[in-house]
Amino acid sequence: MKFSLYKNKAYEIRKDLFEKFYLLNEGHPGSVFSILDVLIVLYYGGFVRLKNNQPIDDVIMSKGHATIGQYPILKDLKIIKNKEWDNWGKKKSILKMFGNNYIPGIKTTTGSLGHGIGFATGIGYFSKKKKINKKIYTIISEGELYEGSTWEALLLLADLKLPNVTIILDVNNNIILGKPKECLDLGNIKKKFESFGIFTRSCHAHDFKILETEFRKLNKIQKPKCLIVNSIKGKGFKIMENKAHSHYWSSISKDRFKKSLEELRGEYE
Amino acid sequence: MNNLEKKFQRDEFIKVIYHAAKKNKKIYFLSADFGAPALDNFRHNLKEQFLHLGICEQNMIDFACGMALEGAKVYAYAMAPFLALRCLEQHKTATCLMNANVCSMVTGIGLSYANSGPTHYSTEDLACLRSLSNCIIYTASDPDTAKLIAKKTLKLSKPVFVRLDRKASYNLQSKVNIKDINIGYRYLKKSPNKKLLIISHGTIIERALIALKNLSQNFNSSIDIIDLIQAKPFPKNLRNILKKYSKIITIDEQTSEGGLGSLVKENITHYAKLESISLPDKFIFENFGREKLLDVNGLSVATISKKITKIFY
Repeated sequence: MKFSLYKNKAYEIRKDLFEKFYLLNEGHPGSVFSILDVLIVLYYGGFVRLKNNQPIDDVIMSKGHATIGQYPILKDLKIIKNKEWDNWGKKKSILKMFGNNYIPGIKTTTGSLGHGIGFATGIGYFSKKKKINKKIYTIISEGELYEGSTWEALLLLADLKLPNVTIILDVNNNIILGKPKECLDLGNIKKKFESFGIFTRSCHAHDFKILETEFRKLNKIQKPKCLIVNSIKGKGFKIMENKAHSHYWSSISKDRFKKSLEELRGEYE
Repeated sequence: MNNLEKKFQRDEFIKVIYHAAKKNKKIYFLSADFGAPALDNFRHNLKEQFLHLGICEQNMIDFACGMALEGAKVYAYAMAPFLALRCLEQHKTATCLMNANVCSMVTGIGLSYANSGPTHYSTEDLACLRSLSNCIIYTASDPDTAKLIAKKTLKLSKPVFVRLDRKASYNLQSKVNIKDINIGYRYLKKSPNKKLLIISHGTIIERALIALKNLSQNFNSSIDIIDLIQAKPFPKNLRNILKKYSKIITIDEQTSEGGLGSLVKENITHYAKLESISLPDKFIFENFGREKLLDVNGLSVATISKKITKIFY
């Protein structure tokens, strides 16, 4: 049952987001669609728990350009008002291309890279001190591994041995100018994380069953952990899939817009 | 000056936070490998509320903001040039943009760390920090001011930068009180004639007072001095006070670009003759000790006196 829910949500939310990108004629679709299935499992799989329509657990979208992937989910969960989503691109709305902590359900302001693990560590540390049962998922991109602050934060996270922080590292093998390997090789990421003392696993980013299993496993690990999710940039849209240029939205014709939605339907039928 | 005892601003500040932290378990103190005698007490007695973050100011600020988002009151402590500039983007994106309850203790402003050279001088922190929106910036000119600023920060729940000197100093003659901190400035000297106003902050203000003392009574009865405790937001009431003066001098231990002189210029709405006395817009490499470095870089008592005399007539 749950897996058909995931699949339906994956289709519906992709469609909503694609229509919004088309309306706004801007945004970062490649990065949003690469991490969307992970978000769906986190929110609809019960990994982000809710109380009185408010999240108990936090999702820190360190790759801030993908925050808009959270908006339709938060709308669906009645955390963001429908009118904010509907108005966005037409009238006044609190929603922005990059998230900020004034938007319901969005814990931190992000946009510049390399902040998420530091934020998550601070949140995790103080909530543990307060004996609050809260989990913090921070989603980072491989591009953020170029930021020194990411490694500073990993050092502290490992030292504090926080069991409530999970890093989700979206590896879609594309940064703005191409493949990281061809730009500046990041080397063996898993080994690097493990060498810092972070329990690290990796899996496919678009297989709901695997994602759910991995999150269940990780939740039992009582130390800082990381799930490397190997994703496809622009997943769900042929014009974007695994293409570096899909980082930014490119104008498309009405026909191409319709065709892309048909292709999407075909993929999820 | 009050000659009872020289004290360190940072110790006076930390003592206040220490006593508050004993009662309030939400207060945390983070250090990027930077110490102080008063901090030893904190580290020893309040181990659970102190964290050594390693020498990484960027992460210290992100971490502090994460804690603050969960309800902590966080003090972040490091050497001024690094806490102000190394993590300036963290201050923007994390502290200020998220309105985090984080107080950064920017310690060792100006040429405090003479003779370490330009890497350790904090001669542009005011220009950089005041360009950030949504923050409060305080500067302490003596130990008692540092102590009262500390008390004030305990009542605030937004981004605050406190600029402290490195050296031990005496309290200035004019005793500071909490009302001064609340309004953001204090008169160190008020004259009947109000011909010229000197605005300064930090320990460099000591030189302005000496310069004034050396001048004749004729000057003294017409010159006022204000210690600008709160550089940002610029005290509203002070804008009106500035209107009363046709001649204004600023004295600041920062480079000429974007410092106190620029700040005052931005807040003047009338025609006034303005003179900014500051460090030159260059890197300082000489090894003369702080006092001599100030002397040869435009902030000697003689230069200040000369400029006061020049603008006065």
